[in-house]
Amino acid sequence: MNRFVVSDPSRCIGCGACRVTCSEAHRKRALRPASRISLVKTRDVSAAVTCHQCEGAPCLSVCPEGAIYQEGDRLQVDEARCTGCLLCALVCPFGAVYPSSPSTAHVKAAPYSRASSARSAGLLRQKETGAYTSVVVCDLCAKAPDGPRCIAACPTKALSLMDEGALSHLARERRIDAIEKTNVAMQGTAQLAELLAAEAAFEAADVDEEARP
Amino acid sequence: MEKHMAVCPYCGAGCKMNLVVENGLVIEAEGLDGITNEGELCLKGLYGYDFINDTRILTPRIYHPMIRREKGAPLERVSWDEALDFTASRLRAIIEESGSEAVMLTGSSRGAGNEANYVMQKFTRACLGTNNIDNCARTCHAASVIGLMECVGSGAMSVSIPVLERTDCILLIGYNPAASHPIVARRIVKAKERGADLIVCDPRVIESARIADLYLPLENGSNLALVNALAYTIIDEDLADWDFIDNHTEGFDAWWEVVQEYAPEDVADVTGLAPELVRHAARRYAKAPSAVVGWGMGVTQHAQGVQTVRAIAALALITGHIGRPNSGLAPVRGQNNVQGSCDMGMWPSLYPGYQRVDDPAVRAKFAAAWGVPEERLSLQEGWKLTDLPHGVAEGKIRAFYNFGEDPLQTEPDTAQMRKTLEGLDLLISQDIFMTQTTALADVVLPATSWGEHDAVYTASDRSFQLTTAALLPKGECRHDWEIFADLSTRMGYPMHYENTREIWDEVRSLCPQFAGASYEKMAGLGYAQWPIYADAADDPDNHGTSELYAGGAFTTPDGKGHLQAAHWRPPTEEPDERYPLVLCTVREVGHYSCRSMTGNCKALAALADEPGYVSMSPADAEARGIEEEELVQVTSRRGKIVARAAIDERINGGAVYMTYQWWVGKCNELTLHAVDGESGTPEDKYSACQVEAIADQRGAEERLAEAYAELKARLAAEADRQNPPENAEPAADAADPNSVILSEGGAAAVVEGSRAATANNSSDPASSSPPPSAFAPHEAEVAGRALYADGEEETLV
Repeated sequence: MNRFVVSDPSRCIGCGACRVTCSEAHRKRALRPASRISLVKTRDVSAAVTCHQCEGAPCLSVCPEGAIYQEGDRLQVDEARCTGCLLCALVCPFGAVYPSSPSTAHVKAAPYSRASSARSAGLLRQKETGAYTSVVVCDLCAKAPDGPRCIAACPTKALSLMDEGALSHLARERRIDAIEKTNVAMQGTAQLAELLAAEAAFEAADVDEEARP
Repeated sequence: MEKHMAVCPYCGAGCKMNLVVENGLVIEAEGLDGITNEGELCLKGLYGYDFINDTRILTPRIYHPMIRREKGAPLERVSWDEALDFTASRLRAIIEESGSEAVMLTGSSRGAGNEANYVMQKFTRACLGTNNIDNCARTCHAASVIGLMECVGSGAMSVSIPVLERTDCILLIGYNPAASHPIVARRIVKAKERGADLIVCDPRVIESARIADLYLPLENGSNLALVNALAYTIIDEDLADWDFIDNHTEGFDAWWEVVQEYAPEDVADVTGLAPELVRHAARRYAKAPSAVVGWGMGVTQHAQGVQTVRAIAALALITGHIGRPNSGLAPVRGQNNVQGSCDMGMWPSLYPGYQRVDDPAVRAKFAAAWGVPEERLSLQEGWKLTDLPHGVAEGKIRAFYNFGEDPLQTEPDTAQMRKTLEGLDLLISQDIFMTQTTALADVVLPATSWGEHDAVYTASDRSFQLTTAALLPKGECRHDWEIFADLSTRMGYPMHYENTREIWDEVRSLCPQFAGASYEKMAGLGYAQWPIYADAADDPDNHGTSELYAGGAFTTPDGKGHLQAAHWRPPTEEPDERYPLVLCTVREVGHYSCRSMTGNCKALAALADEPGYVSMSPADAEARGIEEEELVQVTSRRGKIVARAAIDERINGGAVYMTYQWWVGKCNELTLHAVDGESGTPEDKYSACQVEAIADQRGAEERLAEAYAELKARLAAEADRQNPPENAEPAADAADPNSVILSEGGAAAVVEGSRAATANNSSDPASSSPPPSAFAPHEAEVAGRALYADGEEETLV
């Protein structure tokens, strides 16, 4: 099953540590430096949005060059093959495919970089350097030893890795919740106290069950 | 690879970290389990270290002393002896002509640390004979220091940062922790998850407002009216703690005389808030079993900053939310050691340890300890940092010793500040970078950076912690305290210290509140929170005082909390037809202060660069035909700059927000230099401006790029004067447009210089390639991808 990074908006403080970490972690591994995680801020929400490593990945299926491929349970971009056509970015349902030009602006000992952080200036820069865009997608930091760096960097622990175990744990909690709600709806509130007691017992039993190896 | 323990040099949260060093370069920062950060770091902590390596992304470091022999002459590299003798003779001449009051100094609240500041103020007081010493707290939390010392006794946070996680109610006023102190914001998120109430008062929907239980979007500039209205409600609805008021406070009747006019219903026009919302917030705060009020620059950088701080203190005093566990006042400090600068007496009216300069007994103590006659130490309060412009204009201040600050970037009304600095007879700048201020200096003294010296920092919550050197000093850089001691010796007051511990022990011996904070106690992840008295030194479990004023015992002269109220008045410069928008200066999380540090860090510079953003509401943008990311022109009565538009639905209409670290988009060209009469803190949160669309975007982008390159090149050229041409690699200077400038550096220090240059380069894996010239693009920039495989990669993977 695919694994992916998810974000808890009630914990996100919009600080961008995940984005910088993503960019740095890939740059240090000689990959394109664009962040593979984005930060969405609306009036009421701040949250990171990430690639879901879809098994039936639309980005992979539309790539005319075969530059995106699946490696085990995750996606990888072959930067040398990518032509920068951005078809994959058009079809990604999460907006999680990012064009990345080589970062020339801020490397060590390149003191007089282009001033602007505008997107348009990025395009100008590529022409000057003769390099063009490659897309990047989250690779779960496959080349780093300890898994996704963004999760480690988040100071509020808003990011976590959703995998089969985490998903089934979450589903189990939801189902227990659902049982309670269904029962309440079917049997009426008079029996609520009894149900809650039953649920507590159920949970205790559940804990016992989980405690067993 | 080696690891060295350090305390983060950015905000006041005091995060402990390890610096990972390889081949003489810092290559990584790792969080350590410190008392405030518990292993976490924010993005500045994680990626804000490589400025030490002299990346030259924004501006070069300085490695050699330089002087201008006369006003207007070019900077010239000289030996330390010559630089310090020159400085001493110039200072002596000015003091002989105009008295010691003609010299003003400012301490450094950043990487330098407490010991360096202590030695600087000792030099100021014992050698120069003046109290003209201040620090950048003046422009940030001076209002809190003054207001709180009067009302409760101490200007510092009464609670600890970890307390924020345990309290039942957090009331934030004018404080955006997610941008200013992410590691403090982390505590607020955890408190919220634990079930604490979060009440946020801010004109913008800041991150904390988004998760708040109650959000009060007050009008810009209405703080005091709102805080008075909260206090009114607490009395009006009988939510006050009358026992606490009776037993532990003074001045209720006079206070109520003023506050009784602030029914939320009566000030709704001023605050823009529904009265019931204000009442609801007051109830939540007053009824909570424990509560903390947190505030930042949104309170202090107004003309009524001190009065608002007193009003906030009154909220805690009338509800008894102070002096009890998990309750209190939290003015969270912006810079890693701004609390420390205040602790060390970088303050025109205070000796180290908050001992008053006008108290003859205190003077006698310091005179005896420092071995000077009592008359040598002035009883007269010195100039404030914000007195500098008029002090210079009136000819009362002739020399300014700038220690690790960049007032040309950080102070309001840049044009006025430039005139001020140019109007000085002597400007001394002791820094690690060639900043805009340093470029104007008559004497440039290169100091060691954070990571190159040991020091004690004071975190925002009064916690002393030890930071250690990860690298040896570069070039001819000397420790700040060595420079002051050497200069003082040359000026007739000999000072000599072997190391920072010796200085720190002298501080402890003179400041009873700090006496227990020994280096042993602070070793490793240890900390010591003042007040920590001498008896704590030998008790390893005693870390000092986590929360002040236990049981309502205030440290004011009479031991009581003082209730003081003032009437709200409108801000100084209100919007009008020509300048219809309120300009408010704020922080962004990835950059820090004047940006000489973060701007030289690869990852942080990549995150955000010139000209910076002006954030505005969708309605204000639409009315002006401004699109997202477009360059716009921002004007005020003081100046005109270019910034990039960020159209943000979190921004309230009628106001725009800019961060103050950009050179091209420098909002301090626009800000009004009006100050709070009591604290001297500038009214940075409120001046009138206008934002206009620019039709020719392409041209504007080009001009922006040119202006930025020109500014960088100018500072680089100034910094290059420290490198005689003999040091340059042959390949580089042949085509170097700067070779003329370089050759002006003179041949005086050839031997010295080549030794230093070798030392610098030997640790650099890319030293075989020629150094980049000032204007040509770096070869990596031309080669595009190739840059990923250069020295950088070899170092890091």
